Amino acid sequence: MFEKLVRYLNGYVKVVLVGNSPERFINLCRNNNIYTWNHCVKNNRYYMNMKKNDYKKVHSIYRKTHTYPHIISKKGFPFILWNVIRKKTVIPSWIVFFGMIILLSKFVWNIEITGEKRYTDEELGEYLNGIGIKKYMLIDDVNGAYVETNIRNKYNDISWVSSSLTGCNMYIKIIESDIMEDKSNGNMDCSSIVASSDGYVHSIVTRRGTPLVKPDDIVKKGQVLVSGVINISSDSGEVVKKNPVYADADIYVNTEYTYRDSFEMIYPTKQYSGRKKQYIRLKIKDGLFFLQNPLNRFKSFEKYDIIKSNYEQGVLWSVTVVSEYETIYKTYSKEEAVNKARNNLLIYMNNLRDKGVVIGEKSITSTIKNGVCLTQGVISVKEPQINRQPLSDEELSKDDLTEYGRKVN
Amino acid sequence: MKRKPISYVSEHFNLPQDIINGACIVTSYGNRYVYIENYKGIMEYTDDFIRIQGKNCKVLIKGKSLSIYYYGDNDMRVDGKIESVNYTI
Repeated sequence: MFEKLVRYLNGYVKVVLVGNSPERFINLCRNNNIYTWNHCVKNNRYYMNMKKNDYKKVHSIYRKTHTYPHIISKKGFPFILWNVIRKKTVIPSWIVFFGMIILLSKFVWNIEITGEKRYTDEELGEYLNGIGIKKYMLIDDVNGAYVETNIRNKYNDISWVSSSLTGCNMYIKIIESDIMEDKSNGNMDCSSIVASSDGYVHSIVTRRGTPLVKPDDIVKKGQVLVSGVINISSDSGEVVKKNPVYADADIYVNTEYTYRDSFEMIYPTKQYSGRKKQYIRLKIKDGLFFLQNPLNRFKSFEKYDIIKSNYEQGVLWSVTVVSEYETIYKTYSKEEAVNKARNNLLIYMNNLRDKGVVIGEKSITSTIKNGVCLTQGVISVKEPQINRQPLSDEELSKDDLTEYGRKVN
Repeated sequence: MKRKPISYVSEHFNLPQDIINGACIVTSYGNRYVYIENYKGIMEYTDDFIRIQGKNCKVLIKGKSLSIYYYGDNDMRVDGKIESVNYTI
């Protein structure tokens, strides 16, 4: 195999021996270190292969034997290369090809922004356009430091920007700051924690502020639980200063939620007809083109679902298959209705758990009446208190303050 | 037949005939290939037979569609449908 590859790369010729003494020619070739192979005789004509370079050495043998090797075919890479090179249009084509590649590689063909959460690609793209960074610009004109500085200056909550060029793509990676502002500074953010529902306090751990309730106290909705005002008292126990703070505490209030969920027993569902249609989506520059079989164009589907698509952001083309369906109405069986009601309840409870609510006992019943499945009941929960109320002027009023034990009036 | 003294010596001391005496080595793989070593050259070559000159004898290979796959300094390979291999002095 390796030997064949070497022969192919060096090039070889297939010859036919014309003369009276082909055997002598073959023997002399061997004696002159001319390697030959694939000898065969057809219709009293001798054929064999020899290397391209060895063919130039056979002239002396021809003079001795009067047997001349006529070339039938030339095989191997050097001959193919020569056939390609000698055509007039090949070299200009290669020059144009490489020229086009070099020319096209001088431009930015795609700008990809990653890491953004609060800002959309379009918003950042428009801003980049505004500062002169846009698609199809020259790569030499791209200044990474300029892009990074401008983005950081424009958007205060973007803490880190990195821009890089890979090939003709420009990648901008950003990291948005997740650090919340310090709410303990300034009177505007000072607030108290208030009860979000009626119940009684299960536990309270205060980190900042003045607690106004203790465990087992009954609270009403809207009642202040931890005040954002800290009274600073003198040695005699009189308030000399009111310090507004951002109240911070872990408070759980035992309360009850009323759960109610209902749905119709008759529900719409999709029934696929099995008729499918396929089209190709092409993205050329900023335009979108849809190619589809003209025969299928007459199939107009009233309602259809996309069942298969290999579309991804940034690809030039994608294939989409849609399937026709019609809407039919079905009725839940009793078991299906109970399962659906149970699933709805589980989803509701999971949502509560995501909010930090601890679920205790529950008393839920489901009834099916007049084509409606009604699920209702009461759920006992331990609810974290996160509702806040800004401090009022009355709470911060200095009218009732004393200075060194004496009324200020 | 009168043997050469060197042939007698090589037989007596169990030395390889191809090295001492220059004997032709013919190796056959079924009836498809025949490898021949220690030969001098091709005497006759047609589609049906190939006569090869060895140092001490001639080798006649008969068959159909005979071709020489390669023809090197030391060995050669004859392909085709081999019918017989004969040795002549």
